[in-house]
Amino acid sequence: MQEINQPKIRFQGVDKVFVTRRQTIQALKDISFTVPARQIVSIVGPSGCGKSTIIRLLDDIIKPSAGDIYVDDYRYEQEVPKEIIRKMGFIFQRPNLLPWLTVRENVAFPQRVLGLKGPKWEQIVDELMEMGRLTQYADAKPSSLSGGMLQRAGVLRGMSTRPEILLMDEPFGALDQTLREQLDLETLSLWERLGQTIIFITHNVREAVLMSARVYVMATQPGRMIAEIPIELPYPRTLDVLLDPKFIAYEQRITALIGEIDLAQIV
Amino acid sequence: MERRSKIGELLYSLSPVLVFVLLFLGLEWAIAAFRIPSWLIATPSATLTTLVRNFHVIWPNLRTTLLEIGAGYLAGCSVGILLALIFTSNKYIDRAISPYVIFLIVTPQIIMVPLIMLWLGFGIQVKIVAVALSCFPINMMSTMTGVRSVSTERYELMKSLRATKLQTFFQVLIPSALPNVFTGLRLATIFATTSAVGAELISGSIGVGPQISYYTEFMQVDYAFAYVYLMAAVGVLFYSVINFLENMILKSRK
Repeated sequence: MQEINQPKIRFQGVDKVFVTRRQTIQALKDISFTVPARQIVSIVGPSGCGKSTIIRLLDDIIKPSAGDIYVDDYRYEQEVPKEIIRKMGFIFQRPNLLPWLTVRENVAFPQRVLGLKGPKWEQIVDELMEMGRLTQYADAKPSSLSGGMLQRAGVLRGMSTRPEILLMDEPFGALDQTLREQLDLETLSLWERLGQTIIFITHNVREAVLMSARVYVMATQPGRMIAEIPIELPYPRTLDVLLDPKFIAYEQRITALIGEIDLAQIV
Repeated sequence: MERRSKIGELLYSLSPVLVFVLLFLGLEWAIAAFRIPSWLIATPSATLTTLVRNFHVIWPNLRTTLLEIGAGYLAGCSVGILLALIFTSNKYIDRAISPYVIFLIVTPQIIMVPLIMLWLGFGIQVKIVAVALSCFPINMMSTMTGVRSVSTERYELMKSLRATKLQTFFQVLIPSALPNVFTGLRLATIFATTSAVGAELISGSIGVGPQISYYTEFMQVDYAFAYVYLMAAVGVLFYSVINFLENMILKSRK
């Protein structure tokens, strides 16, 4: 249990400023938080608050303007070694599958890029396909799949290199509520088996509470964290948890927090 | 009922052929009915007879034109695609070049033929260069469009995997741009046939263009029409072949 309390990811006073020709935008201001190993942490907030920017910084797709980022005690430098980046699997807002590859090839694509070959890795793909109930669509092209299946394939792809960390960027934001919650639960059950550390970005409060052990609430202009709320509901969670009074209380509290931000901006 | 629907289906699938036959017969009839002299418009039957009987005279000329189209098309398309890939590899070059690509496309490249003649003489190379010149801008433009339209997320995927530049190029960029590349290749077939015959009309004596002009001067329009039919067939065939290849290669995505 000691391992659980060790921080896997740490942000320390991180700022991000985007400079365009017309204006300078403070996207993130003084972001500090930690994610313990093997935990799911959600970040919620209105659109434009910089939620996605946080995981893009972590994945070194963009660079911070100030502050420190740590993964497993490694402090981010100008050049982040690929061993660090390859600990992370990125799951996109849209499925972002490559249309010329089959579903299985898409799921295995990160392995191909990283040069991970052999029966061990083949088996990992097979298992993921099985867990995601996509085995029968292995040889189909993405264009023949439904939106939910596509997104599921996108999630599996993010897991195919067995990353220790998953960065999920509003992965189910485009789906309807029923399908979203179904995929949330599937992700939870995958997580229970594989035990990754997950940062889950969403604008849906219900989803955030359902998934995570801790919810960070963000406000916009500049993007900053205004609350940290531990969710004390036991795993494994099922849809029943949605009816738990504690769950509803969390949901209302966070919704109210976000509502206050919105009101503050209108006034 | 079933038989009738079968006939209906047959009629449906053969309807384009029927139109063709009707046009053919209609033209044949109209020329006779309105007593149009044979030195003005050749009947389809006379044209076909000439085409078959004198194919040994027609073929060397057609072959020359085909060679010009083929060589020019291959050269022009390769250069266009290659330049597009080079230009889009750097955002500064891309920005600097882009406004001029459209100039190249809207300027009829055929106007260069007299100058190319000055530089290269009268041979087949003039036509090949003219065809290449007309094919490369459209290929350059569509390939550039293709490369630019690769979504940020696909690049982010590669970036998140710390893929090498070559991996990104071959595994994401090229396949993503392929539909646009094919659009360029397909449209270039039209440019290629047009400018081959156009360049021939300006320079030289062999090839389809000069032959049409020669036989028309001597009122032997059946020969002229024979070449017209052939060029129409070449144009359609060329376009269809590229279209077929495109469908074959992109089909696997559906």
